[in-house]
Amino acid sequence: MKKNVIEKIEKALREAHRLASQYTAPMPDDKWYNAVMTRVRAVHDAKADALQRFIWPFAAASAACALTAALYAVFSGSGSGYSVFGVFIDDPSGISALQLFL
Amino acid sequence: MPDTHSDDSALQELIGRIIAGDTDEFEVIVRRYSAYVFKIAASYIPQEAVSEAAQEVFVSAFEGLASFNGKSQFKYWLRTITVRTCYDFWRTHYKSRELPVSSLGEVQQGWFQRVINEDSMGLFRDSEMQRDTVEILNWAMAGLAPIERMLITLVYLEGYSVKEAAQMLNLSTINVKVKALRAKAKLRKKILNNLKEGVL
Repeated sequence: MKKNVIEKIEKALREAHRLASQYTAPMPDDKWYNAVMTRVRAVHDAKADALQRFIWPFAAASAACALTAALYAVFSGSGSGYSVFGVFIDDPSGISALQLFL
Repeated sequence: MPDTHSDDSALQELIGRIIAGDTDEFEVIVRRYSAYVFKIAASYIPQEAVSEAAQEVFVSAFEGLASFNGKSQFKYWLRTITVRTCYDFWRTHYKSRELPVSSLGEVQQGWFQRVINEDSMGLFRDSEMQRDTVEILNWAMAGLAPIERMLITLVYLEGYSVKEAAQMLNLSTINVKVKALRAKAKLRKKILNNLKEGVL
């Protein structure tokens, strides 16, 4: 008896849930669409800002590392970079350096 | 809902353009799927919270768009985000205990009596009966933990399989099975405890 009652109640609740979600779902309007797109654009802008903030310090740090490595290669007098950088440094008019690319 | 093969490839192209930076194109997706998301959200959370939750769904979808791999249909991917957003809603409200837990009144006790005495589900064509039933459902679910509430809705009311529910809530199948059974037992106990003497 008890099981029968509880099964009936559960069946009723399932039916109620089905009907409720069928008839009572609200619908979006233009104000809602504008609000969503405003938030989406804000998310996009925040991402772009974060990228911008990251790019310049990264570029500066990379350039500093490259310069340090180049200076080390030139002044240590060894390594594969030495001859290339030597050409640039010993050739102020750029003639020899230009020939490398011709 | 457009999800044929040609629509799928058009959708993939649209997603590609959005990821590449054309944010305004996302409005096409929002307009196409908003009614779908509203309908799903309305099954899990109170009507007055649906609009805000649906906004959260689309913002989350935009943020995670690059992770959509196209293996499943886009609307199923969106459904998972919607279900998880509704789960987050209940977690927030459960912590703050913002939703009042009311006791059953005479009208609701009468509801139990009618359901037990009636053999067919035809009585739900009556709008007053529908409203009372929704109230009963809210009352029954009010004391449940967020995960229990979501599992009762997903597995017992919506009819999803344990595996599907586990995937949507990002839980293991075993975990969902145990928790769903526990939630059902809790719900049954609550209903039985509140039935007036003589009803049974």
